[in-house]
Amino acid sequence: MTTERRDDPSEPTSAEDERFARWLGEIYEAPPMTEARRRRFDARLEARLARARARPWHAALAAAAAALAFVLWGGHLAGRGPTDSARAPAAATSAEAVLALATEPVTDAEEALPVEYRAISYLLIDAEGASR
Amino acid sequence: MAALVAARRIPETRSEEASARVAAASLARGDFEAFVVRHRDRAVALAWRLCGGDAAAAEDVAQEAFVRAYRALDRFRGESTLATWFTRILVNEARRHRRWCWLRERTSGVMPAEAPAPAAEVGDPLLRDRVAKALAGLSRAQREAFVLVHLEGLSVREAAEVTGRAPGTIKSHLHRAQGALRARLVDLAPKRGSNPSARERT
Repeated sequence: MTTERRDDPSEPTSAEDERFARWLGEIYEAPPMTEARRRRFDARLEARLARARARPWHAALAAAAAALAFVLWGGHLAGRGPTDSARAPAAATSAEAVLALATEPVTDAEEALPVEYRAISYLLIDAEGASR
Repeated sequence: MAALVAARRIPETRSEEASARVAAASLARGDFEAFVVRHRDRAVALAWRLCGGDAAAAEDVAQEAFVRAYRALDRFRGESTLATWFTRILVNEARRHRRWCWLRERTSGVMPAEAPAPAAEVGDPLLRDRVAKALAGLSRAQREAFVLVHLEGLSVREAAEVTGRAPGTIKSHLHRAQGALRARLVDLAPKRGSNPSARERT
């Protein structure tokens, strides 16, 4: 896969560097491919190539979909924190509004009820409370 | 794999550049099986070194590189050797793999595997682990330069072509990588002027 490195006159390495690199290379060497690994590799590659031949546009589509999903997912994750904090005041506001509605004096609507109804409303309210 | 490809020759050298251009439109797919057989072991080994010693990731990266090369054969114009062209694809795939791992760790909180499982034990696993960690501590550019030139035997010019950087930049990265690795492996590396083979025996 490569040409001879020593052909290049611009090599910056000293003998010391060469020796250090050789020492590292001997330690950090990939495990050799066994026949079983080669067969497995070829079989998987063949399956991938078959897919690539059968559906050449699928790869581009899948990559685009994956990129889009990833961006959306990342945006969702990134936006989750700030959104929560942004929602907090809104939630507090709505809670305050509910509390205000509950504690506010009688509304116009209630006052608009017929006088007869207002006269017996305490009975209805007491009955509701008793049934709980 | 033979069922996938019909016999057709793929030019290997720069001297065949002209015929490569002429045949570019039709050469694709041809002798791909032979190309895979010729470059498979080397591709997996290079991917293994670029992927921090992860055997499964290396095979995946190498396979994806072959698939991409297969798809792009029609666009090969013979401006570099086929081997250099393929190595460039492989290095890009390794970059993509590392970037994907990095993004996955950042966004999902998935922690990387402590130590990639080797396909087979070769040499001293502790030493190899130390070297892998030292290499992982380099910048991507330094690591690529060091692996391509010093461990894979490419020339500076070839490494520059493969990585898309200037030869001077590759030399600079090599120099810095050497210094950083020596500093990180100071307790293991053979001393200057000593005989490394003598140290290996101890």
